[in-house]
This record gives sequence, structure tokens and C-alpha cells, in this order.
Amino acid sequence: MSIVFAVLALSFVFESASGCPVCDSSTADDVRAGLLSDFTASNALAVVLPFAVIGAGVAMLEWRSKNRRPPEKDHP
Amino acid sequence: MSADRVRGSLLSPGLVLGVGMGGFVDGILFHQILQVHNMLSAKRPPDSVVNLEINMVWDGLFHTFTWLTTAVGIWLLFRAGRRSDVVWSGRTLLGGMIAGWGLFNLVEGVIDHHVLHVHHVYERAGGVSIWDWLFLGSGVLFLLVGAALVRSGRRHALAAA
Repeated sequence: MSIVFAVLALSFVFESASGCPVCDSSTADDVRAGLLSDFTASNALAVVLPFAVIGAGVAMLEWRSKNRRPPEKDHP
Repeated sequence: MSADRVRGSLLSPGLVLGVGMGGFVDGILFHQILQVHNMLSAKRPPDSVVNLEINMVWDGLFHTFTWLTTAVGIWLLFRAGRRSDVVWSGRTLLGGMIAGWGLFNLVEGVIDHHVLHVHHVYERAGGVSIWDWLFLGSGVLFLLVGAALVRSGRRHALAAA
């Protein structure tokens, strides 16, 4: 979730550099407002949750497989 | 050599790499090339420059997580490469990757398309459509194909051991 905050903070800072390519007016304020109003829990969940669910599943698989085999040995 | 040892070591890297690369297929093909949906296109239809820019930020966030997942997959594969007890099986790795892609389609499809409704596969169809069910179906199909390949790789590796 901290990654979500970091990327959103970056987009807030750099948003002023962009603008409408058609009418040449700045869209920064509207985009910032949109990002803020859109920053609901469900939006962040939509990005993070699928990866978190799969990551938890694979971590469980790794843990189970690790507990069934002897300690790791590196190649000499 | 036990069957679990053969399966466990390359299955996780394959699954994680498959999830990451499946995410990239979604982002590159559906979001960018075909432009049939964006991350928040059901909530903010990309019909203005402002909405396009907001969707682009959230698409970027999605790609950040797919990139991180792929990086973790490479690290898991590198770690498996350092182990002396890992049997290198192309079928297990490929099967894991295909199963991971299927897992991505299934989990992302259920959460984002059917539960949270932030976007749908073909947004112009309006809401959940046949395309969303086909997306879930592809997830199940990839999972089955991947699992069959992993099982085949496991048998092959055990026979060779």
C-alpha cells in the first residue's frame, strides 16, 4: 500500500507538467482533484488485492515445500 | 528424490513469473494496444483528457505491481538456480508460468471485474459482459493446462532422477 501512496505522490508533483494537447490548457488541478476524490479504498484495493491474494498463496506454497525438504545447499 | 522436492522448487518461480507476465499481457494488450478498458474505466470512462490522465496514473500503479511481481519471480528463479537439489524441468517452469497467468486472470477477474467493478474487459459493452466470463474461463483453462504440464514435468524429472 505504501507503493500506491508513493506513486500517487509522484503523480501529484509531476502533474503540473502535463496539459491538454488539444486546447493547450492545464489539466493539473482537475487531475489532482480527480485522483484525490478517486482515492477510495476500493481503487487501491483493486490494484493491490489481486497481487496480495496470489502472493499469499505462493508464500504458503513455498512455506509448505520448504518444510518438507532438507535445508538449502548452494552449489560448491 | 521426492516428488515434492522436484515440484516445489521451480513451481513458485514459474507461478510468480506467470502472474507478472499475465499482468503485462492485460496491461499492454487490453489497456494500451486495444484500449478496451483502463484501470478505473467503469468509474471514470476515458472520455476526457482529465479522465484519461487519471486512468493513466492508475494503469501505471497496476504496471508497477506487475513489474514488482516479475522481479520477485526472477529472484525466486535465481534462488532456485543456486540450489543443488533442484531438478531443472522446462515443463515445470512453463507449466507454472501458464498456471500463474491463469491464476492472475481468475483472481484479478473476480476481484476487479465482478466484485469491485472498477473495470470490465470490454467497457463499451456496459457492465459485466460475456468478455468478463471468457476472461475467467481463460483463467481456468490456463490453470488446467499449466497443472497438466507441471504434473508431466514432475513425472519426467522423477523418471530421469
